[in-house]
Amino acid sequence: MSVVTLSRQFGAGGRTVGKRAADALGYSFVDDEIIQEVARKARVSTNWVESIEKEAGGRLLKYMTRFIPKSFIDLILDDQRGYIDEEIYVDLLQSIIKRIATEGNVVIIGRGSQYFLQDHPDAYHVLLVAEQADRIKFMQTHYDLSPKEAAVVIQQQDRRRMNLYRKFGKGDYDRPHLYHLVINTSKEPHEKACRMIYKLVAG
Amino acid sequence: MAVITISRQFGAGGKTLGEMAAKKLGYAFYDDQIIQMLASEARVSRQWVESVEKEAGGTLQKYIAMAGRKSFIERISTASRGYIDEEIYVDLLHRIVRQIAEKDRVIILGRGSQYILQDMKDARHVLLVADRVDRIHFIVTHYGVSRQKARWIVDRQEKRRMALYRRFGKTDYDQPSLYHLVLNTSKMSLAQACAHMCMLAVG
Repeated sequence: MSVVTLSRQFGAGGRTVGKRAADALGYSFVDDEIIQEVARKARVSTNWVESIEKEAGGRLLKYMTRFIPKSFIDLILDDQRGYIDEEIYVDLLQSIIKRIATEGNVVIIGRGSQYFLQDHPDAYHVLLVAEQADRIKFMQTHYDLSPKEAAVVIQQQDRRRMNLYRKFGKGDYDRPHLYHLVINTSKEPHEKACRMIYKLVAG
Repeated sequence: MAVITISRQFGAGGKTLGEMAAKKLGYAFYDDQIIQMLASEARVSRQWVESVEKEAGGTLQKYIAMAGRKSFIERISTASRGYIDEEIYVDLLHRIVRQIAEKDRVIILGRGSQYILQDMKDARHVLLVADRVDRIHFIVTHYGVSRQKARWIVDRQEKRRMALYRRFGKTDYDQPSLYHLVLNTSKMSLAQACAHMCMLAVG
């Protein structure tokens, strides 16, 4: 029963690699947007997490893997106010991520999971980095944006990431010491990154 | 078919890992041999080369980025007795590291090889990191010195490394962006780290 946390600079291919690795390992996959949506909903009604768990047969993770988040473009183009500046409830994030982790065999993208689970005995922490130019290019092709749009999105997301970690009081999220493995997807193809993660977990 | 450079915090297991990976891949491993190669090329004793390395000081900064200075090379080849100073050391280091890299199927430990070979197509750059306490422990066990001595070695090496790179105008030597892969040997065994390193070399 292992947990893989995949942290990444935006546009380094975290979701792509994470989903692939999860499939290869036969693990569930939970990305940051799903966690974000769940946290947002849970903030609204106090016992929401518990009620969902009851409905989903006591398994929050099961619920979340069926959850279909807003399409990425909708999120970007959506009302900025609710998206970028929204208050993150750190306690809520922590409890959601910790719950998912106890249910095990899951790949979790982002949302500070590398911090919340840093003492988890069966957690593997991976960071993906890439050159800014490559990250912009990735956004262009993967989400069909113009170069200008892509550059803006990358900038927005980098800022958002920084803000999230500021709420945790953390500034070291791109430093290697937090992770088992740091992979530079400007230099290594996604497919290789996926295989390395598989190797890390499956041995 | 590749060239692998290993950069590392001292005590993270670079030499051990380099030898392990070289054996597994059937590659040649270059570490201290480079000193002898430099000594032969400059026609000086290896002690002289070692003292240049130890005392890397102010003038080194001007020359690390330079590919080579013809006048100095000419001076060496025409002199009857050898000579080496920091400037010549850097010139020769560039040449020798490139010569080694051209052989292909080699692993090179340290000596700024990640910079010297940064534009080489078949070069793969690995950084090894580990927590200070683990690095101290590694040195105690692998080099048979007291904990106090090990602590002194780790701190001194880190200071030297920082001073050396700073004088080259490089402060980014522990930044993931320079490397294909960063391996944290505080979180994984050397065998695991070796397996990941070897994945870089093959397809």
